[in-house]
Amino acid sequence: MEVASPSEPVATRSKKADAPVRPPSFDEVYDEYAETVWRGLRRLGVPDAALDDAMQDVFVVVYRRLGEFEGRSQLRTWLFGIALGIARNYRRSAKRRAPEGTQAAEVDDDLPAPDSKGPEGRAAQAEAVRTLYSLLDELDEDKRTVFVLADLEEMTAPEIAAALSLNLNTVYARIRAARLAFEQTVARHRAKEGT
Amino acid sequence: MSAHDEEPTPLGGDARRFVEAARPFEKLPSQRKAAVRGRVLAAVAASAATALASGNAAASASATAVETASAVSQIAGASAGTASAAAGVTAKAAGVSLLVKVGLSVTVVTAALGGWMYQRAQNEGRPTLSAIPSSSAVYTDMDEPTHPVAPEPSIQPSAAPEPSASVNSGFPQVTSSPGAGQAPTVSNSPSSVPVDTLAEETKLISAAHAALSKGDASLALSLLDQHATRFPNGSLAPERRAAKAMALCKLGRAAEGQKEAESMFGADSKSPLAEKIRRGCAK
Repeated sequence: MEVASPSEPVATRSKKADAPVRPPSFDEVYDEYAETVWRGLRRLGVPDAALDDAMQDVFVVVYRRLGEFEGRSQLRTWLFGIALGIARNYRRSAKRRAPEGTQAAEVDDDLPAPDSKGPEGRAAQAEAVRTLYSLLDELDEDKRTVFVLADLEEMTAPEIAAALSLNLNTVYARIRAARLAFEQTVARHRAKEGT
Repeated sequence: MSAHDEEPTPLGGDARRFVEAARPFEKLPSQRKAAVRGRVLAAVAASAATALASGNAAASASATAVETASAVSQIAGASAGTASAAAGVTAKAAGVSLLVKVGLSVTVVTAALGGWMYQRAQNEGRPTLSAIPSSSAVYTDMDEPTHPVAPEPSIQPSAAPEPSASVNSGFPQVTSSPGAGQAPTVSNSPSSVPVDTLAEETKLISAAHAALSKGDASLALSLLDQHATRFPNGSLAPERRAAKAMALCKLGRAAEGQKEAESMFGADSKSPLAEKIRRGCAK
């Protein structure tokens, strides 16, 4: 009996243009991309308290629509297409509930810290994450979205264009603006912290 | 990469440091990953149940199903804690047992909530039962927290070949020999009879799905026949019939496949499973 290698990641398989593309199973997608989606939602500004709900929403959609995924785009791009819409909803409802600024940077202090050597290392790691998210919170929605996709998720501009249904030049312009805004935010943060 | 000329200049080094400083620590805790998986599958099962329930009872059925789903996720979460607190094989076995029982209790609870609905689901292959194998998948990641120092690297290799979760998906990734004990997490469960039975059922059906997904419909069919012989009225009988319908379709026995499908769903069911089979046969 022919044995396919189960260790081959879904992502690699879907890139093989000539191979007959079978839809990946929900479990394959979940195993491989749960963390990506969770991190993405968080970076896109879904408050921590709503993260599990948002992630559930994303994967319920994934479960239902996986059959429609035909490998025309990268699986990750497709997932982000779904996650972006859901992140937007959660971000907006969080804003409605909380006055401006108070929902910023809700980060678990009990973050898993793989390299942690002790409580201090752990705290520093949590702080690094908290700082990044509070910087991201300074960006407006459009800028934050492209910035997360381009510089945190490291998607290419064409991938971003696909995920956001925008044309490439618009994406380039937004990336430029978002990077500038983030750099300015970092500069302000430095000035404030005196570092 | 394309359009190099137009690409914006990269993020400045100072700003980049903030991004990179956080990157290694944005990890999804494996318990949380498992818990959300359980919630997704419960939600899918619940809404599929709602879709199948028709008439005036639909609204109330929906409410109960959603409650059931959230109860399931809570139980799954609690079990996650239990599994991680224990260690090694014991934890593994206990976790499986617990979670498969959770799965079973979903079925029981569902039955208690509405006999007619349950009956109907049994007849129509409602995916509620799919929550059972996925419960064992919920477990899969749960032995990870016993290594809290570096949980990430081990998740992919251990989770990726997990076949026991694939019953609900229809396209399991494990394609190795079906009899080769590809569902050890399930088969290791202790000696409670229904759990063992379910584990056995899950193994057979998962193997059949695996065979189907790699195009070996004959093998799938023989596995499904094994299931039919051993568990004629098993918990996964609806899944078996659905898979059988798809296998028959793939073997070019479309008429038989469609008949099998229609006997399950009726000619105009909107269930995703029915849809899947129709598509399978339409090819």
